[in-house]
Amino acid sequence: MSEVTATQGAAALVRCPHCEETVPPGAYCGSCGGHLADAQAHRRHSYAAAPHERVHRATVISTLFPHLPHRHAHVFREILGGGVAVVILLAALRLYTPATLVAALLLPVLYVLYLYEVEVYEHEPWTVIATTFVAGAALGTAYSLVLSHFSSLSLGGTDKGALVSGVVLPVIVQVLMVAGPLLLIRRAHFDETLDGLTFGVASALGFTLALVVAGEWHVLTAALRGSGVPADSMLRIVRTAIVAAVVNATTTGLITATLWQRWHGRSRGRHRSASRGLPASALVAFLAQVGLGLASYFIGDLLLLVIVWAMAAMLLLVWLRVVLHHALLDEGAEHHIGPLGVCPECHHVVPTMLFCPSCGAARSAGPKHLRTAAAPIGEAPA
Amino acid sequence: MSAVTPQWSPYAAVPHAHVPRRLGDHRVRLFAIGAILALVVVISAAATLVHPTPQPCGLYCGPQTQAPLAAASTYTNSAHGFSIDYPADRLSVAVDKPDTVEFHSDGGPIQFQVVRAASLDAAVSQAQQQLDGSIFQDMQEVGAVRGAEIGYVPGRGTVWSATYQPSDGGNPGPVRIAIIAAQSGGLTVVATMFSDYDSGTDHAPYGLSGDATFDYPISGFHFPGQQ
Repeated sequence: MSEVTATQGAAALVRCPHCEETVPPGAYCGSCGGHLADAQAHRRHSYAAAPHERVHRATVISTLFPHLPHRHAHVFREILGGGVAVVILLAALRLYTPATLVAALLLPVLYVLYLYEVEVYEHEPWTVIATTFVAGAALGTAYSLVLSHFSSLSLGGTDKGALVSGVVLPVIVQVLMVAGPLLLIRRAHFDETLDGLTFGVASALGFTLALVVAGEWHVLTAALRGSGVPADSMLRIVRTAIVAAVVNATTTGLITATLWQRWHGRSRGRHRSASRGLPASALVAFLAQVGLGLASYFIGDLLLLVIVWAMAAMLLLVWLRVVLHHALLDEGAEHHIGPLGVCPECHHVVPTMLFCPSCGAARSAGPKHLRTAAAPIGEAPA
Repeated sequence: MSAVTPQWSPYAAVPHAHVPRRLGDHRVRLFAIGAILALVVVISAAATLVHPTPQPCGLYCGPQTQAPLAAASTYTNSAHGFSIDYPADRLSVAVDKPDTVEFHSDGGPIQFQVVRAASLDAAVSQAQQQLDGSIFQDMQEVGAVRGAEIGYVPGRGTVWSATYQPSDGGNPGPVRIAIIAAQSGGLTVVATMFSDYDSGTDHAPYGLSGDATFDYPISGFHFPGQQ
């Protein structure tokens, strides 16, 4: 166990009932993240990246943008909600071109702002953008062009059959979305599970953006005000540009996050489970893509299809949160009580540890540029 | 040392304004809206520039030449006794069922289906309602097919516009769908065909880019007992 320096000035140390380490007092153990007053180490009531939220909750921002402190997350949540409302309004007014573009750009633009805000890319912004967003977009464009070359019109929607349409093509899409981030896996400084998640999500969002723009090119070149049925177009745009982006980001993030966790070996083995490992996560991701591919092939009703995709997106988000939560609880170096610093999540001045003793937020889920922020002079634990 | 954990936080908090941020709330809103608007404009402009437009050649145009027609093949339906002559180099039988035969071509598919309906208009309407709404989205009626016929038997027909959304995740696009129904000798047949939308009214009056391909099997359709 590490020694506690006099500068920390903490009150009496306590023993964590989960990891048995001697840690500073607070609601959470700074070493393992367990709730000190609770016998259960899994703390399902408090998501490790956003402790004010339950783990089993389907939210886009705190799952796909986990580095955002909750005081900053509300702006992203507002923009996402407002953006979806604008898309629906534009589609209702039959302005399909702007509706399609706003829907396609909404999540990718938010993600670029997120990358800048939390500085996930550290000192390599262009490398990260090129191997994630740009590589994803390039592969998405190439896939779309190749697919259109081999497609022919059919009254059944495809002449390829369920196997190719529902199984082979979704698997290819998933493999392509994972390809770009693999170029970063050997970088030693991108060794955290959330680094893998971020790169996977960025790649998937770039890929989906390219698919939508290339696939809906006929809408973009048509008259500004379309003539189709607004409800049909609205459902199509929401599914292909927004719900599909969330699904793709979640499945790809699931694979890359667990891949990063395994590759960099940061697991302490406390929360390891076969159901949350790389093989299981990859299986869930590919099964989800295949299941939705088959649903798109067999389900004829557009509204039902959107509902199926939306429900799948919510389930995948919850699954990803469970995986990330346990990965964050599991991840870290040896037990160490560091100097005082401001927690990016709750803004309390706490000893620098793997988890904030006050709010339980994983330190690796905070913005990278704030992790070394020094406490203001004169601030000390009460 | 104690195992008892306090529920209160023993640590002081700093004012939120003292925690550094790279972007404030207003800037995030401003940059997000600005970036989305700018990219919408850029992509729309690119789409307008890249949009292929027909190049009229006027007097300098030569005659459109095509490969000579190959000898026709004949499809025969044993369940109902009708037959269809079709160019085997352009069309292939993709679906062959007792009540249905579907041909595929580069221009699009054409399906002939034996149906029961109270009238030809009802048969057309019935066939249109059978189309999968998730594949043919935004369907809107364009108008009636003037002089509609199958195998030179006068019938009724209607054209619709729609957005074709392939179920294999392929690229969607605007299409025109034509449905024609005709009846002879107690057999009601509905022909359903669609192809990419073609705005050239001189060669594609109903907007079907593949209508030249469809003409052959429609004209070559023989009701039972018809030569």
